[in-house]
Parts: sequence; structure tokens; C-alpha cells
Amino acid sequence: MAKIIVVTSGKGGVGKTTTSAAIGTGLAQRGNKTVIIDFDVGLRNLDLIMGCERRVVYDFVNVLQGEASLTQALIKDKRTDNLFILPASQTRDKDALTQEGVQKTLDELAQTFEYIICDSPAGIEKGAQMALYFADQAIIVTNPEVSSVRDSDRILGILQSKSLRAETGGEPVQEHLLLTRYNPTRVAAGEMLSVEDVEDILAIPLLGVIPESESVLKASNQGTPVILDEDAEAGQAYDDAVERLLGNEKPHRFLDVKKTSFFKRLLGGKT
Amino acid sequence: MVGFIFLEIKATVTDPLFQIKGTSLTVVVLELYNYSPSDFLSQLTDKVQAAAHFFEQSPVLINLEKLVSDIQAADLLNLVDQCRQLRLQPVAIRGSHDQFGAMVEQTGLALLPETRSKDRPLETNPVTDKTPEATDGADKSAIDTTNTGSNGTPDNEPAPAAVEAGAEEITTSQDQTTQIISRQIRSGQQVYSAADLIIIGNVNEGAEVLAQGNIHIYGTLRGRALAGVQGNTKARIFCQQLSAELIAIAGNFLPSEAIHQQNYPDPVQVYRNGENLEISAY
Ligand SMILES: Nc1ncnc2c1ncn2[C@@H]1O[C@H](COP(=O)(O)OP(=O)(O)OP(=O)(O)O)[C@@H](O)[C@H]1O
Ligand SMILES: [Mg+2]
Repeated sequence: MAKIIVVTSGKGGVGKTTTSAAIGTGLAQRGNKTVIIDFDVGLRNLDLIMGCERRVVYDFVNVLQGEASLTQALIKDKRTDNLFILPASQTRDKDALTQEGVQKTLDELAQTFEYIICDSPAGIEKGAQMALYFADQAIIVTNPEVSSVRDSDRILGILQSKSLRAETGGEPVQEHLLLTRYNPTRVAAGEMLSVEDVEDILAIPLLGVIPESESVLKASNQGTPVILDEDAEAGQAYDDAVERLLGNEKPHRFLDVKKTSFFKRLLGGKT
Repeated sequence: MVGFIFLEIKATVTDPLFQIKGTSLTVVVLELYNYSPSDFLSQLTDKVQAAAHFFEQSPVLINLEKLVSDIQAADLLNLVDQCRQLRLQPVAIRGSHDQFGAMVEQTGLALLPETRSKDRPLETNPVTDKTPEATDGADKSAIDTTNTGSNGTPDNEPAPAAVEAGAEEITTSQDQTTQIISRQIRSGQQVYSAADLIIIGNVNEGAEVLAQGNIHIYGTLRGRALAGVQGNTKARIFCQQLSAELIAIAGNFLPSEAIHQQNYPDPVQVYRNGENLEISAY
């Protein structure tokens, strides 16, 4: 059975697309046939981060409106086997997303793919609701600051009341907290919320903590998912998150300010 | 709370000069039944004096849906003016566009469409206050706080899951028995109990829990909790940690600023002592 995973946040610019690209790549690297769908109709971003923008011919909306088949619109990733991208259109507006259309596309994808990653647009309106509606799992991308946490809380409320699983009384959507752009120095200085603060408020299981890192920007400028950068801490942290998503235990890393945490890290990190 | 759609406008080429966002806003609702200039002013003055801090500069929504007699444009202008005299800030008027549209335009305030929802009366001075039903049907105006979302719930039926984009999830129970909820109440969610309310979990910032009776929170209260909303001054709020945006018992309020000024050990209870809200250990 294909697993549909939405990557969502409420707040914009927190790292959803970066995360979708990294997690999708990580799952595919491990031999799972994976497709990443860009639900951010009108803003098209995923193809840039995946470095396939020049190969976009048809997009998600073309498929929804019957102007192209899925096979025509899916872009096969050049670097990673088993990985496909369904880009969003830059021109059409979000009204093109209909529940029936999305369902039909997801059903069709579910026949060949093991993982369907839905990169949600920001906000809590229609586009975001459409991206999360059919999800089996949700990765809640949160930055360690108050407004992001609050928006994540809001989107969790929507998942719990307006997803298909909620509406039909099925098993609840499985929730994962992914804290991104985490800067231990600023946390120590009290300028950012700590992992514990965020966990305390959102009260959902922690999938991973991705450190704030230059390498993310570098990677997205090059059109390479950061998870492929094995030297980057952010890449390693995403790799750990993928392991956890697959049910494997991994100690959390990069949580502490480097100097003081040397021994802790030597001993395998905390928690 | 206003279920504004969360919009973001992004510039793609130049740096964005601004961002448009939605927000939640709780307003005081002035529900008008009849209008006569002098009685209105005196009744409103009483209300405002009873809870001066609560009303100070409060945004006010004037609701004309319950109006039983006609109102003229001049009356409406006068009414808005009187609100301002008392340092309230009328921001919008709710009522039918056909009936009031032209009139509201003259006031310069926003016109909000009609709702089917029944706003909860929230008496600001319940001990001495006459309820609207108890008066003789002359000039009456009840002041409620309400959520201005368009997805309010009729009092006598269970809340359907909100369907509109950005709308809140609202859980209401009209059972006369304690309602127990074993989950976290998240931002944008609201729970109402016609009796006591027990929450096993946190009440997060942006969430609101209301009960006609007591509220027990086995967790941290970061959002809003209003107990005794129908005027029961004996109602109490209990929580393991208090870091609320607002607490209220039978219409008397403490906003977060006032709560944070006080020192108290956790866990706490909140109760009425005359017109004051006391926070103490239990
Ligand atoms: N861990 C990180 N460290 C540093 N920068 C990051 C990190 N994660 C994301 N960013 C940067 O933040 C910006 C926004 O990232 P991204 O596009 O993934 O967010 P998004 O949530 O998809 O945004 P939108 O809401 O616009 O879709 C990008 O410039 C990205 O490079
Ligand atoms: Mg994005």
C-alpha cells in the first residue's frame, strides 16, 4: 500500500520544500519508489530545488485537467533511482485543485509508488487543505520560533478535523514533528525556542531536528537536495530523519552548541 | 475568532515589500435589540464601568441581527459615536446587506455578513446585571464576546466539523453533564460545555475553552479559558500551569498581561472574589 505523506507547516518559508526534496530523495535512495508532488500551484519551487526545472513540460494541473497523462507529466530524477517529481504549474491558480481530481491522481500514483510526498503550500487555505486531505502521515515542519509553532499547532488541528481520515473516523493521520533551521547557539542565548519547548507545546513525536545551515541554501541554488551532501550536518540530519520515518531508531544529533557538546556527542548524543 | 484565510503574497523578482497575513481577533460584540440615544448611553456606561479594563479600547462588533425595531442611519451614527465616547472602538457592523448596507457605509465601518450563529451571552457584571430576558423589552443591549468566524454553532445542535477554509474546529456540548476531552486543544479550536469541562492535555495559545460550569485543565493553559459563561460566579478554573492569554469567570476577565504580573505557585485555581479574579494554589 502506498503511503501518502504531506509535508506541511502553516507558516511559509520554514523549509517544507527543502524537506520534501530531502525526505523524498532519502526514501528513494533506500529503494522505495517515491514521487514528490508540488502542491504549491502558482509558485513552483520543488523543481528548482530538485534541479529539474528545465525538464518541466506538463504539470500537476495539466494532469488534473486531463490535458496530460501522469506518465507524460512525471519527471524522473536524474541523480536518484526510484524518484519522480510531479511539478506544479507556475501559471494557473489554486482553483485548479479539486478534491476529485487530486484523489484520482493519487489513486493512480498509488498503483506504482510506495511513497507519495505532498509538498504543501504555506497557509491553511484550500491549497494546504488539499495537500493534507488524503494523507496517511504528516511531517509538520516547524522553525523554533513562536509564530511557526503556533501555525503548526493550527495545521495539526486541521489535520485532526478536516483530513479524510478525520472525516471518516479512520486511524488518525500519523504526525511527525520536524524542527528545521535549528540554531543551538541562538537557542542557548534564549533567542529561539528549544526542542523541548516546541515538543511541549505541539506534543507530537519528534522525527528530527535539522540544523540551520549554509549548505541548505547552497544545495538549493545548485538544484541538489541537501540530503545528498553527506558532509553537511543538515544533510546528515535529514538522513537520520528518513531512518526514523522508516521506523529505525537514531539518536538526535546537532542539538547542542558545538563546543560544549563534544562529550555528549561522543557518547551518542542526548535523548 | 476570525477565520481569515491565511494569505501570503510573494514577489518573485524583487524583495517583497510586505506580506499579507491572516490573524485571529477576538472582539466584543454589542448585540442591539432597540435603540434610544439616552438609554443606550446610560446602559452602555454601566456596562463599561463594570469592567473598565476589559473594554478599554476594545474592538467592538455591532450586531444588528437581533434588532427588533427599525433603526435610522442617524441613529447608527449616533450609536457609533457613543461607543467611541466610552473609548470603545467599533470596527464593524454585522447585519444584512440589503437592510443595512447603505447605512453602514455612512459610518465608515466594515459590514460583515449575517450569521446563523447564536453568539454566547457573556455577562460582564452578572451579579447585579439584569439579563435581557428579565427586563421589560424596552431598550436592551447585551454585550457578548464572541468569535466573529462565520461558522458559529447553533446552540441546540452538535457542531458540525467546520468546512470553510481557515475555519475553526468547534466542539460544543449542550449536555448537562461534565464533558471530558482527552486531547490537546490546539490553536483555532474551541470547546464549549454547558456544564463542567475537563481537558486532559494542554490548551494552546490561540485555543479557547468555555464552560457554563468549572474548567479543569490537566495540562498547561496557554490559550483562553472562560468559566461560568452564563453568569455562574462560583465557577472556577483549575490548571496545572497558567500561562493564559485570558481567563474569565462569569464575565470578569484578566488578560495575559495582568496574569503574568502576578506570582502564584503551580498548579493553580482561579475564582471570583467579589468582582476580582483571584489566582492561588489549591
Ligand atoms: N535548515 C536550513 N538551514 C538554512 N536555511 C534553510 C534551512 N531550511 C530551509 N532553509 C531556507 O529557507 C528558505 C525557505 O525554504 P523552503 O522553500 O524549503 O520553505 P517552504 O516552507 O517550502 O516555503 P514556502 O512556504 O514558500 O513553500 C530557503 O531559502 C531555504 O534555503
Ligand atoms: Mg515550498
